[in-house]
Amino acid sequence: MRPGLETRPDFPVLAQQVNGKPLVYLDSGATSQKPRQVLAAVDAYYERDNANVHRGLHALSMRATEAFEKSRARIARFVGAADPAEIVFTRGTTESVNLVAASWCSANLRPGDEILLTEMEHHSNMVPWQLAAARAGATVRYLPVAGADAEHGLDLDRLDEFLTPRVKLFAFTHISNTLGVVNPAAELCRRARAVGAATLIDAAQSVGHEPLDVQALGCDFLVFSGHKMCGPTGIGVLYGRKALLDAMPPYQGGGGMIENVEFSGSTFKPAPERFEAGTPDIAGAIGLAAACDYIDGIGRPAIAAHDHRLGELARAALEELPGIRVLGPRAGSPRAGMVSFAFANIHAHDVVTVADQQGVALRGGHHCNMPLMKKLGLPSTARASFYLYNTEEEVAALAAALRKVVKFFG
Amino acid sequence: MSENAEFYQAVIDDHRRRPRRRGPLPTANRVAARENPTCGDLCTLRLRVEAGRIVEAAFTGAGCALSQASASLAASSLEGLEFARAAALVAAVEKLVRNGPGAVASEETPGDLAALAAAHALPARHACALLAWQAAGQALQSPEGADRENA
Ligand SMILES: Cc1ncc(COP(=O)(O)O)c(C=O)c1O
Repeated sequence: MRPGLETRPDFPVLAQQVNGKPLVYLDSGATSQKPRQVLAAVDAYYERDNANVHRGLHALSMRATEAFEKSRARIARFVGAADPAEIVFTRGTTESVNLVAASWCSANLRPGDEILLTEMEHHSNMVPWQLAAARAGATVRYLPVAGADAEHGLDLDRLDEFLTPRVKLFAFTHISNTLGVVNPAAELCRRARAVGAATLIDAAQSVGHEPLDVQALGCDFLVFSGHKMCGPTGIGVLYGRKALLDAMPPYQGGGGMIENVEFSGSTFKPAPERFEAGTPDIAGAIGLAAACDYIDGIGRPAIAAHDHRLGELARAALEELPGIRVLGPRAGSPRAGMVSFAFANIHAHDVVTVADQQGVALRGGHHCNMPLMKKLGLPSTARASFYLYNTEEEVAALAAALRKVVKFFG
Repeated sequence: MSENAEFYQAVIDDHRRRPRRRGPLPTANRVAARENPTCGDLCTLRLRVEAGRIVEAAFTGAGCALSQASASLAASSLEGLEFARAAALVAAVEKLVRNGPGAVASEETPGDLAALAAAHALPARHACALLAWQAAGQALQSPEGADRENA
């Protein structure tokens, strides 16, 4: 199956009208839609196998445990992990970052140390580190974005200035959810390793869109959410190299993560169970594995090419509009399948509300990156983001909706 | 643009295009500023209060069409009101936006103000519609004094 029209029967939610117009869903950067195959996998689990994992000795519990662990192995394969034990299930990107910021930092971060981030991080890859640094007496620094208007890629010429031996961890996004910039993740990991810093990649915007292999990237941690890659909400992943995970203290305490509990104290299982206290989101894990199957059935190279093509078409169409500023990489630089933009005299909220009246679903706001918005000199932007089920006709519908916006507010 | 009638009604569009009472108010003796950091909307509302009555009101600010039109509606409809009546109006508009047109008697939000009911259907925009009114509520409670920004 090819991305685009052929996939649309798999996404029942897309076949509806909004405000009397066919829905044009261009907000997959916030959350993707889910194909029938994922919904069916979740339903089948609840209808046939539902039981708690890792504790029951009865048939259903064993089936549920097997399905849960098979999902873990499937996801390990999806990201190229050497060992399923390197896959920790979490609630999403945010919890995965918080887990590392709480656990790894408590064991490894000392007063005077630095955590290096970039100016284009989502709040969820910023605030947990600020909290961890404050606890440890460490400092957070930010690699700047380049360009006079601050909307291009990272300022790699200044990397050496920031990536010093004081840096214990470098956390950065693979694809910026605001700019659509694709960062050179493997290169950044290599440079971090050279100064002895651990690395964490926020793959929330990339893992369902582009081919990705944690071993080729050479990262220590990689985090993502199921809901942005055709999977259910409530499930996400922390990939961590086994040696690092096994040396980390627990995150939350509870059932499932202990080896032995005495009134005087407890001992803990190795990863991944050590970090999965309590009953996990079993159905979510199964749904996420089904999402991996679905995505690989189409192929991530084909999805990436499709997304990029729609992103470029949109960029070109939008740049025709009067008074618009299209953010993101220069033509020719890698751009993910999304376009953020701002009109000189029209607030992003008004753009999004009027587009919604045309059935076109956009995101408008600060995209969970307030400091970057300040640097861009914009209170907010609107964003169209594309995925495997979007079509060229929808790019045309976007352009038509925005022409109406301009006409209405002009 | 008929499909937008529900939201960007003529009234809101009119106040956006030709804002009433926008600008400084050098004689103000009550002032309050509100900001909505999630979208960058700003509103400063200035009142000149004499003998328990708002004799003049004006706003400055920047932001989306709804926030600015609502500020224009707020400043123009508060002018001339007794203090207690102004506070009641602020409360009624808040109820109108949050709970919908059924929640307030039509005489509580007279005239053009009824247009703000359109914002009820857009929960994500309640903050835009109410920014100026919250500033008004704050200004009504603020201690009397010269507006330093204008001094
Ligand atoms: C780059 C990036 N990082 C992190 C997140 C947070 O993901 P979640 O809310 O699923 O934890 C998002 C989603 O908005 C994102 O785009």
